Amino acid sequence: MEKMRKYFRKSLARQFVVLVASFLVVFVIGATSLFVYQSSLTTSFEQKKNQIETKMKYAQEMERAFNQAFSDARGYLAFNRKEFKLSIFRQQENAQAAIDALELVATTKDDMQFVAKARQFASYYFGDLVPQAIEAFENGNIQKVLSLSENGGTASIEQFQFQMKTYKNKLSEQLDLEFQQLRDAQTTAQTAFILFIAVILAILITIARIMMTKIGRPLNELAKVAEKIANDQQVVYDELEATNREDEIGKLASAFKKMLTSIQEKEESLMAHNEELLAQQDELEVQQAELEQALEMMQAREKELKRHNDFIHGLSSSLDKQEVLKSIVFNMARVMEADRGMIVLMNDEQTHASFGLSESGVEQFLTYIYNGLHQRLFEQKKPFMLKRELTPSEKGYHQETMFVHDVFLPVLSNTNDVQAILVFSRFSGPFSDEEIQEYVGLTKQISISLQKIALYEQSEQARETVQHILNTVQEGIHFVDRDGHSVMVNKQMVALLQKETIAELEGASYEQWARGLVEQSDAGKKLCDYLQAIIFNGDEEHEPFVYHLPQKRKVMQVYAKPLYRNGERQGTVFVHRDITKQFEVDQMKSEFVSTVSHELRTPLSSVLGFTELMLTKELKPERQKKYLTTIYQEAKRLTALINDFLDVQRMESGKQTYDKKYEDIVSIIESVIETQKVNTKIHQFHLQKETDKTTVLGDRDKLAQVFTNLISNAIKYSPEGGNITVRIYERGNRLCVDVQDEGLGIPEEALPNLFTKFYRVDNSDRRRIGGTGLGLAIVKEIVKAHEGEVSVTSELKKGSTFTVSLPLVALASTEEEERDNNEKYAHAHVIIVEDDEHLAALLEAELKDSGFRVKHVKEGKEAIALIEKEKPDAVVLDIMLEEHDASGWDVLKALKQNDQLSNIPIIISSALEEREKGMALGATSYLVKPYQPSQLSKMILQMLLNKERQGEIFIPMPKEEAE
Amino acid sequence: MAKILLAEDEEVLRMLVVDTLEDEGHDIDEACDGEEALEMIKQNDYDLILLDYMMPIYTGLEVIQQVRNMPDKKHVKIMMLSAKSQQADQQRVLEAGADYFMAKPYSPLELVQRIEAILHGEDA
Repeated sequence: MEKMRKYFRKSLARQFVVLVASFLVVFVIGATSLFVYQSSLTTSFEQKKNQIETKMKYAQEMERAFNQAFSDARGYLAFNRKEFKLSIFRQQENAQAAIDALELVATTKDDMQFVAKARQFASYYFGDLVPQAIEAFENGNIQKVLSLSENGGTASIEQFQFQMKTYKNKLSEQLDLEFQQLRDAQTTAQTAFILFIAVILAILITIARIMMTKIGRPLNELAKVAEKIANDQQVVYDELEATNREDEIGKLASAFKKMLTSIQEKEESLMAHNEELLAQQDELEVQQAELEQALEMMQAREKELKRHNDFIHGLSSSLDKQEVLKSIVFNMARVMEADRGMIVLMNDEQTHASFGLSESGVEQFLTYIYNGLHQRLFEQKKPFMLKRELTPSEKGYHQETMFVHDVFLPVLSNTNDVQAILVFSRFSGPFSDEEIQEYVGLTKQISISLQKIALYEQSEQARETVQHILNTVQEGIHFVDRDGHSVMVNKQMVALLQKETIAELEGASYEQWARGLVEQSDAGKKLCDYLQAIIFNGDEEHEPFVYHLPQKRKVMQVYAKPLYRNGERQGTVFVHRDITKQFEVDQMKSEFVSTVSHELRTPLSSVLGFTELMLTKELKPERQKKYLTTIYQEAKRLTALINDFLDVQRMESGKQTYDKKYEDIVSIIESVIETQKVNTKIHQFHLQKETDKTTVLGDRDKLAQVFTNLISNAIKYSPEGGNITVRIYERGNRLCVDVQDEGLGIPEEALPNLFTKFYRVDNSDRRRIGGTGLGLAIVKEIVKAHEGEVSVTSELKKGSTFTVSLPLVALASTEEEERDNNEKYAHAHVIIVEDDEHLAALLEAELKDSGFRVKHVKEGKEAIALIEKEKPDAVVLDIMLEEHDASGWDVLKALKQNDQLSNIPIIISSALEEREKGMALGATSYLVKPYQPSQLSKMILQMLLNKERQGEIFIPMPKEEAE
Repeated sequence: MAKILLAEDEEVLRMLVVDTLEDEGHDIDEACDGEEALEMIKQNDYDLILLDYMMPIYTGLEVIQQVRNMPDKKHVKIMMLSAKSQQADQQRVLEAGADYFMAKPYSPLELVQRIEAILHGEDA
């Protein structure tokens, strides 16, 4: 029991459950008993009511039966109708049945009495009275009937009827009584119910009160304590009764207590903390103030940086000098908040830019740039500031005194030279030291920028120079990087790639640049493969590739060289050479060899063939003679061919030497005609001399060869005979000789090739005419060597005219004049530069014989010095000199570079066969050793003559006198 | 006796060959250039044609090509006489359709022997 109580004491919930459960039990029991009582009342009432009503019913049935029987008996007696008599007996049964039924339900004493009375009456009436009356009646004994009725019959009936009525009344009274009882009982029950409700309510209130005391009070207590704590009042926790309890409230209170304890503890620590925080806050406020200050500084710095940034952006945005200077002045003025300013580069052009200045102001500054205020800058190399009063022109509409602050800044190069000066003026206030320091920092930027521009200009110039150099190269040069992009091209290459400008090819991809080239080439695919293999596969060694450009009639050769930087391949340089000439020369060479072989074999075939026939066969004398003649002619032809061939070779390679003298062309031609006349009978020769100036400087034999070839051609190519006219005339300053025939003529298309070796007009008429095919080539070479020209005009079937023109030597046309000339130039001064003593002596002797004044030096430098000193009339120059620091070439170059000496004629006398190089460098003539010394003196004389004729100053005599 | 055409622009060589072959009893026609040779080939049936390589108008090579294009001249025997005696030249000539080749300078007797052999079907 004690356990149970403890069990409940520990839990409010349990207590509550017990209370509610008890309450429910009381409630259910009360309610059930009330209900059962109520229903039992009703049920007992219903039973009784039914009983009474049943009794009433049977009593009524009985009454009805009796009453019917009475009426039937009377009816029978009155009307004597049998049916009534039958009905009486039927009613007897009914009455009997009702009595039986009533007996069954009879409960009270009254009932029993009534049943007994009824039965008594029934037996009297139906057993005695009625049968007697009927018998009497039927017997007609009305008297007896009447007596029967009077002797009690009627009275007993009425008595019974009264009894029945009384009974019935008693029944209804009984029913009313029952009902009354029921109502009383119900009233009691209702009272009981109200009482029940009151009890229940009382119980509920009690429970509520219990719960109130058990939960509400301690909670209220806790709340109060909490409130106290909240209001920071002292609390004695032991005051809490609830803490002694064991149920939830107890736990809650304990927990609450603990919580309070812990809150109090924490509060203490929080207080301590708070104090700390307060201290920190103070500190933070101080810091914030500092930061705000710093922020302001930062913002100021940011603005400054932004200005600097704009400034530097302006510096780096362009490599155009003028643009950058403008940007410098503008941005510096912004940084300085200056109102006007200027920058001048200390270069030759004084490149400058200004801001807020008039043109005349700028002009003035530039004019006095080396003696203005800013001179200090050049000496001190430090900025300085000036404050001065504004001049009226500067003041505008202001009347009062105003000041302007000028600052002068040098821009120092990395070698500490002043490379530019900056001058700025500010009206608003002086420049502080910090500001000037800042500007000095900026001038360093400017310096870097200017250097960058200078470098850019240099590299740009270098690039342009390289481009110019590349453009002067005859080959197409193309630098392609490893991805096939075009990096650098020269002008020739641009044309080759079918583009207009170099810029078009800048960075062009392989597809873009290669197309133009590949399209026009005859070997497009192969060329493509070649280029690609080198560019993309990085192939190192490749044979040059040759391709044709059919439209341009060019033969090109391309070779590739890889370009390396630091051992890494950068790309490839392609060089496209126009080898058309070389190709043609090669082709001609091979054709030449083939032709020579053919030309030699033909006469050889005849010689060998006929010789063989003569050796192996018995031939008639005529045939023998014919064969021998043929052999002889063919052998001669072979000889002529070989001679011609050798002549041509010698002439073409410049090895042919000409022993030039003053010759009368007429005598040469006359002797040629004499010789040629013998070979023909069908031609008439005419020599027309239309001028007297017929002297030329030339090699008689060679000139004779020229006219022999021309005249023999005229004979050969006019197989039908006709006139062959040689006309000699003067045209301009030249002597011309026409050789005209009336023969086959030359087709127009053949004319350009006529003077080519082995060229023969492909025409059967002409083909029958023998020849080496070298005659005209020889003519051309000889004429060229005589500074002359040969040309041809022709009409098919009418004949051809060959014209040779040679320089006329009018002054030396007679021997007398020649002698005069020799005398005139006898004292001309010639310097021989020659390291070979023997040769020098030989030449010196020859020249002295010819009357020249001669000096000899062995070394190049010495020669230059002597020539400079003496200014000779001619120099004979050897190339291979002993001293290595100055070869003949160097001497030649040095003389040609010196304006005073460049007109002195120079004859190179060398074993080297570099005529072209010598002539290109400016030599007047070139003699290949060994040569006849007399050739040299003739050449010098001729040269001096020519020079005089060309109007050049030639003053040998005064010199002579001076000496 | 065989009918032979000689096309050669050098008169002396024509004389050499003609004389030699006529001594052997052959009937020789002469042509001075390629055009003339072609004309004569069209009009005559030759047992053998001797062609010089270097001839005006049409070269020996061109003559061969044209002859081989003539329907009835596909099998006429052609010998090329050429100063171009290098292997490549010889090859080119034979490829163009010549049957035989002789280099200049040639021995007339050797030529006769060769021709006899050809005419007798001995020379392959």
